[in-house]
Amino acid sequence: MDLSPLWISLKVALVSTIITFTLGVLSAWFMTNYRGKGSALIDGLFTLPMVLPPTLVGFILLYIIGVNGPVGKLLGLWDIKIVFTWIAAVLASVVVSFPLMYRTSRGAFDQINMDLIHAARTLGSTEKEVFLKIVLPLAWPGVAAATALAFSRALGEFGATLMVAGSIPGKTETIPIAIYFATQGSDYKQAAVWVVIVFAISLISMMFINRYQNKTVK
Amino acid sequence: MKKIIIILLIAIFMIGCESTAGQNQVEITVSAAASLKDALEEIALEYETENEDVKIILNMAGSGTLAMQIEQGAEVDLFFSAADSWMNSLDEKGLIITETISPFLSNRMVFIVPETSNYDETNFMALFEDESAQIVVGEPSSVPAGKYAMEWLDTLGAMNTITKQLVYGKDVKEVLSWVETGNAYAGIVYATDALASSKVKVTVTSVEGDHSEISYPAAVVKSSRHPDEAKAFLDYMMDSDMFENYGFTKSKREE
Repeated sequence: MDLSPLWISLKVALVSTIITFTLGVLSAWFMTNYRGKGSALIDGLFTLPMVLPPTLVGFILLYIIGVNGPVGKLLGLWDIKIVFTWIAAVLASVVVSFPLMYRTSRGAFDQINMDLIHAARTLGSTEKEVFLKIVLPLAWPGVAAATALAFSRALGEFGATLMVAGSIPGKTETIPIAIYFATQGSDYKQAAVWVVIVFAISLISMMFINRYQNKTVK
Repeated sequence: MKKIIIILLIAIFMIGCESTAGQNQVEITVSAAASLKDALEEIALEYETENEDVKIILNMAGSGTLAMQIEQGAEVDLFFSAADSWMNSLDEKGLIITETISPFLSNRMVFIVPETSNYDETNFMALFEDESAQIVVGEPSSVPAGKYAMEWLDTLGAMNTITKQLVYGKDVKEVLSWVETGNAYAGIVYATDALASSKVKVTVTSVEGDHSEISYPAAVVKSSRHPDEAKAFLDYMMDSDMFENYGFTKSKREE
């Protein structure tokens, strides 16, 4: 059995989780403090990819990064084409998993006792120090949960991924795509093997959060 | 005020229910391959205007998905597959009324490039020498169009170079959109799909013997609650010229 979908899926999910983590945590912290105009609108936009159909996300992405789209044309100047590469799969995963990271982290940030943050500021901490030494450690169980959710979502991403990355065996064929084609081709045995593998990975990452959260609470 | 609004809402809701359940309409669910979408929508509309007591519900997806739904007990009256294999496998499982299987439509494959492409009928073979030129087809083990495409590529003698160029799509519409948007250099779709798109041009059309014969069989599903009405609609489709307007060719009806 060809195991390449497993490695491709893990690679895509890991890279996209790193990107999602950074973007999600930073924008969540930014929005927690943001008191300016249109905060409800920005918040809505950040959450939108979670509720949009993946095919719509894929369609929009394809038009942005496609060879005739704005970003695709720009990259074309350096002869770079991301459609039908694993990078495109990463982008699709980032877009769909970002809202989970953002939402859950924001919830965690909102729970923090603001007195601690104010105290740190009056004691002369810079904003960067406040964020790294006070906010992130206090919100860590929530942020860890968000990361695991984002990772699992990235691992399961199918619709948008197939639209922008296609299915190239050994290059962009992820586990969900392999499962889809196996079931469509009535190869239920192959599909079952992949289902067990995805099940195991997702379950492990969920158990990881549970254990981690229990420990931090104690 | 609140009470009045609630009563009004309930009233509207009840009227809504009334209008769908009140009439004595027979609903016929047709599960059909995605490539038949445009033609079937028009023919269903025509049939509904002529037969007001019948409502046609179209369920369009890949043939594999549709066959799986029927296997799992979906309430379907008519099944319209894009390949014999799905029809036969359902028939073997006893899910189809065998006498009603009619292989009545056929189609051709075409090799398409984006409208703006430098490639045309004279030089498209050069595409097979450029490893970076991505060519899109349906996934061969699940998409019939992909299976025909692979057979055709084999006939064209392109198999040696092509494995590095191929990108698989989940259905033929996806393949078409990748070529339309210029993201792929070329693709293989049904002649009917290329005909409906103004953003692609055809470099070559397959001829008999290039790939196995494309056949769209239709049949009444055994679990149908309205087999007679479903059969009537099937007969109506077989007599109609609508499919030819969309580029399909009609197979001779086997008597």
